[in-house]
Amino acid sequence: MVMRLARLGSFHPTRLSFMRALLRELKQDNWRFARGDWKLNARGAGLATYEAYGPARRYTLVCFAHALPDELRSDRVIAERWDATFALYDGVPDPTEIARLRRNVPKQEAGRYRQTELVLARANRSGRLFEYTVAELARGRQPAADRLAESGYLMRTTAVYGNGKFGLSDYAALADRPEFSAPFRAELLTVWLIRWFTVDLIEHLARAVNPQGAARLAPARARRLGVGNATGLGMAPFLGRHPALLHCWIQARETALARVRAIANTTPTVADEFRHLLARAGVGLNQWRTADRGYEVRIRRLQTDLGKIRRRATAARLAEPQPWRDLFHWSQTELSIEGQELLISLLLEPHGQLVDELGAAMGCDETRYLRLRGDQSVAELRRDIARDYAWAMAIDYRSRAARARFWYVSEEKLEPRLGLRFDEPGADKELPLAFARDIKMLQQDLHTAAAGQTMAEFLRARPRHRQAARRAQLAAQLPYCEIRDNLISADLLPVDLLRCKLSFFGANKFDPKSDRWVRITMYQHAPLPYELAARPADDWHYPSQAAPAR
Amino acid sequence: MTAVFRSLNEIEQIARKAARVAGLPWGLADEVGGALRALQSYGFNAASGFARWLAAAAAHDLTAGAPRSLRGVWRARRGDLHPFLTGAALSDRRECWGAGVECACVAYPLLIAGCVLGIAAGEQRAFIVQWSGARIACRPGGVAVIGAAAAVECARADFFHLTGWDGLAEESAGQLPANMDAAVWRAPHCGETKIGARVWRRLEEYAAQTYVAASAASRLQGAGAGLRDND
Repeated sequence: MVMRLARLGSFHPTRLSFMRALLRELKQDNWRFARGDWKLNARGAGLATYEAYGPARRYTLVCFAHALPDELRSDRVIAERWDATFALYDGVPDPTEIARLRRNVPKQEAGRYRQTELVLARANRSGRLFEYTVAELARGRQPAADRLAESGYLMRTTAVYGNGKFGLSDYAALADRPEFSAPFRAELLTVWLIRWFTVDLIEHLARAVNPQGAARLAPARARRLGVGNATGLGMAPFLGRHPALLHCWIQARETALARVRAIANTTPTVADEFRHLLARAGVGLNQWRTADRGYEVRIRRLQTDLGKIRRRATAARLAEPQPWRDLFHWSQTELSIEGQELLISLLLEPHGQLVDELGAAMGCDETRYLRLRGDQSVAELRRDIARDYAWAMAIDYRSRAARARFWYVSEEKLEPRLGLRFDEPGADKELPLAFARDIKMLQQDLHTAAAGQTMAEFLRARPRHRQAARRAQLAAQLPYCEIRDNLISADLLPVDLLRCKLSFFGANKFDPKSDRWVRITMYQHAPLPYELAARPADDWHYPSQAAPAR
Repeated sequence: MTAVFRSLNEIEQIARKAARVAGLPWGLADEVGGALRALQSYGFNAASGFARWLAAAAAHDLTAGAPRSLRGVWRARRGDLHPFLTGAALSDRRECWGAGVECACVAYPLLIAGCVLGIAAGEQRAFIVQWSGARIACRPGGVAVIGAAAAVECARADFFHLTGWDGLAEESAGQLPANMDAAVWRAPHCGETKIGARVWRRLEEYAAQTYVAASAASRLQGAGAGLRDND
């Protein structure tokens, strides 16, 4: 059952993930990248710009670097100052525009933006790695490769905003641009360019300490560094609020898996590639660190699972008919859910020619799905709900545990939060994310209505059910649109929602700091923008070798 | 009048929250957001009327303004037809789109027209809507308007008619409906839209009523990270 939250929360990135698809397409379309302005002082404060040139348009990442005292640095979205703030600008800004951005971007949410700004972001330096790396370079030495790989980033973004927030450009204004036709493209381009800035920044600071003797960061070491991200509940409701989009994402992934499972015979070359990938995946797992006990157990089990896959996927077995189907079936009883999901990602990996084109179907015009079918009969919807929502009908909402939580928007930060219904005020302002409960209430009322009544008539008298009716009708068309779990139950793990979404972005090294807060790494091992033309765009997700000793 | 510029997404989001505060269920509030977004994208001054409607709506029973029946001429159970319950019912009754729907006594007809813009775009249909002194033709990607601003933005109208129109037929491409020769087609924009500063503040005040005030516990637990979290 792919739509259960425990499974969605075990997803690993795949080659369909948005970061990977973005880099493939940027390379295919011969995008070029260049650093523009670099006006930073010895403390690392000032302005930098990075330009991206595509076939039809150019974009500029405008970076404002600040020298932030340690005590003001926080991952929290409620922070008010950051080490660096960014805007992705549509075109190349002139000095007047730079001056306007300088007045606004460092203030983030408190600033105002125009349609020329596509994305707004900020980042903080990593306490684990930033100063260490600067110090090593300043001494003329390379930082230890294994330390870079384990921490994974020099800076963490703490928010990346788009789609019209604070006056930024609406997503609708970008939808007809091929480079932004897939989900979150502008945001992920921004993060990739930020990664370049972080490397330039540490080299700049090292040179400021030791102008003559500082080392440049070796390219292979720079690639070991991605961009970190700290993500809380703000993004958790997204999957529930965008059912059609969720369906597109999951369907692409399931279709890709079905295509690979249907392969009658594989070639020795592909089989060898798969077995090599297993080794590379092991390197990645060894670099995945977390202080979360639950995740530690999961990672250890995953390492065990990977060993099982290695022993199972012998050259001889892979030479037999339908090797991928057999391996998949075997995994369903022999591996943890984490292990099963990692295997799915690995199964897709050597089959880019077969599955990559599915990425084009991962964006959708959600407005197509907004309208209710008013001509549907009450009886028909009752039947559909009984078929598609049996899991929701089985939940007893008389139990306090089944409705223990409620989602709300915090007045302080205007971000979604999760409260305890029976302990905290605010449940009267609950966000509409209790889909299972609401559809059960709809079904109960449908049973009081005449079977032949149209939904238009039913809803005319009961407009409170419009959202639930719309979702139930959608679920009959889009089987992957609904997370099949109770999003207000006492045992909900919001971090599963975060991981599911972030895996589609292409993030990895999930490191929960609580049940509702996770750190991740993005673009680790990927080529940097200036080397995209010369390096493979997509052979980076699984690290190619064990980190050498320092 | 001082104006502010807001993105269409900001307008959609604030409208859905404000509608919620006016007593609309979230499912209908989502449709309100879409209607306001569509109207503002075509340059209508819809936010002002919406703010006025909110002030009145908060005092009224939601179901009183629902169409009493979806057959014959649509009328409210009491008073004027609710713009968004009427718009939602028009959206749901697709079997009426061809023959048309007549409504009597409607509140804020432009807001109903906003719902019709959504139907036109989502279903690739063309419609003409009219009420006392105003006539709007709409099709995916375009509207044409006849009527003075006071009539278009009026607070109530004695009638509201929706009729289907073959404006998408090849021979009608670029044509205006009969009796609308003086109008011109407007295309929607995706950029910023201008709203009166006072209107925007009022919408913000409504939206703020959907937010939950912070407490010490929620600050600590709300996002799950504690108050400081560095690495």
